[in-house]
Amino acid sequence: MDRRNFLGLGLAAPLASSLSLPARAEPVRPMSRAARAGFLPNVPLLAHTGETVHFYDDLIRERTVLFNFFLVGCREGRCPLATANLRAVQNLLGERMGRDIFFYSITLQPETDSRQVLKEYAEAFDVGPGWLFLTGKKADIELLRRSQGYVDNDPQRDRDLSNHIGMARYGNDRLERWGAVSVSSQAENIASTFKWLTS
Amino acid sequence: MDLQREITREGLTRRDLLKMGMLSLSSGLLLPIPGLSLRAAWADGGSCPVPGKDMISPPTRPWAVEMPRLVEKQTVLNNDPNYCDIGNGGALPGPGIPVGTMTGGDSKYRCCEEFPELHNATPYPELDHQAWGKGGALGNHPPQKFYEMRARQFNHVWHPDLPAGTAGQPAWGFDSVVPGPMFRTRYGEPHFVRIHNDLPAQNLGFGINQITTHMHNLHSPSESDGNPLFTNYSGHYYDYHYPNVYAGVNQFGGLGNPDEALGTLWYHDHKLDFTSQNVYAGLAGMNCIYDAPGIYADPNMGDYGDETKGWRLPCGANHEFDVGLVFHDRQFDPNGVDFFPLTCFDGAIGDKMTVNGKIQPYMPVKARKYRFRFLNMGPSRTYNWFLSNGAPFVVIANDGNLLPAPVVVKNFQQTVAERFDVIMDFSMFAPGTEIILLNRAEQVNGRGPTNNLLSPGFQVLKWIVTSDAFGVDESRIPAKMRPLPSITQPVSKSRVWKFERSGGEWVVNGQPFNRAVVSATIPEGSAEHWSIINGGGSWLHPVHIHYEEHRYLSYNRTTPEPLARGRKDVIRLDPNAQVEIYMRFRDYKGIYPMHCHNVVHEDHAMMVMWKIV
Repeated sequence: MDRRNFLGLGLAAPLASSLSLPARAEPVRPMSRAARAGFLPNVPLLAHTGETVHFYDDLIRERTVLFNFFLVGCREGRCPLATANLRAVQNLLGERMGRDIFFYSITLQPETDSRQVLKEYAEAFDVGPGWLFLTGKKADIELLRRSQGYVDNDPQRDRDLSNHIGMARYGNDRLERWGAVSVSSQAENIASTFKWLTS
Repeated sequence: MDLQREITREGLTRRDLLKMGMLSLSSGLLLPIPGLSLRAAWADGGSCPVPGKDMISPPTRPWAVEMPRLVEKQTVLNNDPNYCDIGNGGALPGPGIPVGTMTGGDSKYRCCEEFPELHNATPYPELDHQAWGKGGALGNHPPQKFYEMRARQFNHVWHPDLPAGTAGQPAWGFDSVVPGPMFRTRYGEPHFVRIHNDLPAQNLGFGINQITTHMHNLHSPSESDGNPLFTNYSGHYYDYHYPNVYAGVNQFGGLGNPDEALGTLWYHDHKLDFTSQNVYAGLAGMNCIYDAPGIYADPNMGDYGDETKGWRLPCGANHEFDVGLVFHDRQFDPNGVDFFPLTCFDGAIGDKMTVNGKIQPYMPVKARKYRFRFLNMGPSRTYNWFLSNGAPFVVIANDGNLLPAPVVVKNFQQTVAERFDVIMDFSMFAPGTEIILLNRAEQVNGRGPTNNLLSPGFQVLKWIVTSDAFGVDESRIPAKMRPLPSITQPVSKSRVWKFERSGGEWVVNGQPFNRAVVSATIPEGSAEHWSIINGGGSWLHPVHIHYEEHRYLSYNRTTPEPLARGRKDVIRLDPNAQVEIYMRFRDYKGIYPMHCHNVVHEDHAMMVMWKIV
């Protein structure tokens, strides 16, 4: 089964439907250096659409992506603004979303941000194809956060989860090209960064 | 690397390994991990390995390699612009065909398509050049010297003891060297550099094949500054034209005020969001600029690249005794593969110190005076230099700008992007004498040095005095050098810039960099008072302001240290520091950035853009 093809179509369908897709003939490329080093750990996550996915294998491998950390419960300032802003970016990217660009927003508060909460959140922002909101086990999400460097050396500041939502990581796993952009940056700016990731 | 041992130490289970993608699902075998560290993902306090502790580069013997001299940059054949490889049928540069209107492989058009806001941000919508073909004191400086340079991937040997051996491993560099070549330029002799971007799409695990080359800190119009918003794409070129005038052309006429001369500059990649990765890959080099002949009426003044004239600073024939030293710390994984910590937002430091691209090299020196131009290429380390024999340094320039008089110090700190010119006199030593340059600043992460002084310190470079002949040393350590220009022009505005961390980002005045925002609009010819404030935490921020240098009015409300009393373009903003500076904005117009030169902070996104109108 080739999960990448399945997700590549941007279908939020039950897993079984992907079984009908033909398997790709060529072998899957080996993991990128970043993935092998744990910078992109392959933790299991649960998407707001109900699918269980592995972060690297299903979401990142060979793709052009943007991902960020967020919390549903943070209702002031930057948190909702960030999602609204990325929603505007999604509009600007148009048909490329879900075809060759994917967004992932990972909750830092899986205790409260269940799949159902994320589903409602996604619906509230009317997100289109190619954008998954993800939750999972606390330990897995902590690993993901730390391996991505969303850490403050001051333990007190580190515990304040709203200190980890400022930057979105963007990149192309195939080209091993990784940058970061402020989620509060202008939508046009964020959208234009994808021009840097193609060749 | 001994993966098994590391796994045992970390207490990782099979499930953990699967999760981290380190175990092959099909074969059940451990996967090799070139480039990055297991520990990086598991460090307790954060995601950054502490170099030399969490991640240890393979051992390399000190003093096994001779320090390479920076390659001296030559003009195109016969200095004939027709030899510039323009490709795609592009027009040759020249009067009547301004740089910005060239066709073909020129990246400028793509830059403008992508960032239409720049049409409104520069005075000339077509990004035409202000210093060429425009007439008047500012606009009539066509190039006299023509250069071409190519950014390429090539194999570099950081040290032959690394597992890659003498074959080396991939790096990026201008003209396929790290650091790039040394330009020797001169006021009154404008020069043109066509930079071809030949970088491959597939990188080294970090970096991006799109560049913009900043000439730090030339008095250059915005269009040739190497602004982070201007991109030179792979397969394209970008033309840079440097008028090589002193600041104050509008005020003084001619070439401007020679008391505003720069001396030791460097060029480096400045690609938005990717500066740290690309500079670490190797995209940096040096440029020094000498005075125009006869610019001072007094024959005992001036820095002419000739030790028989002016201040008679050490130089020798073919600049043999005027030497660039580029300091750059690097990290290698236990397999000896180049490592860049993509996840360390505090900054990137390494446990191997290189000079001119080699780990702990030695340099044979003749028993006479040398002028060394120290450059800290970063990305994030601050040095505190000492000499092993306890001798003092004779510092003649800070940030490349000659001081009014030499300053003799036992040691000095050098943060990222700062330059210090130092005269060292080896004539008093017997042949065979060895002197080692020591860094005694302890630094365990990208935040900045701790307060500890290492003893004896980390050995970086060894000078070995030889008995080789050198003719006559005609150089001097002058008692007086370049006078400081007056700063009596009244300031028209005061501004406050606060550098701090917020929401996991690096911000200036509470805001991460936004391409669409010009944070200050400043009339040409005006002077301003800027307060540069460190907003807290224990971070050191080397703050760099493009274009014209500044003067410290005070550092933490007191008189700045003697070394910092000259003209500077980098502020070592220590934790909790506040620095008051005097800024002038003269001659050319356009947009320029101010940013933290801990380039990891710059990329995430401690930068503002300002504009001279």
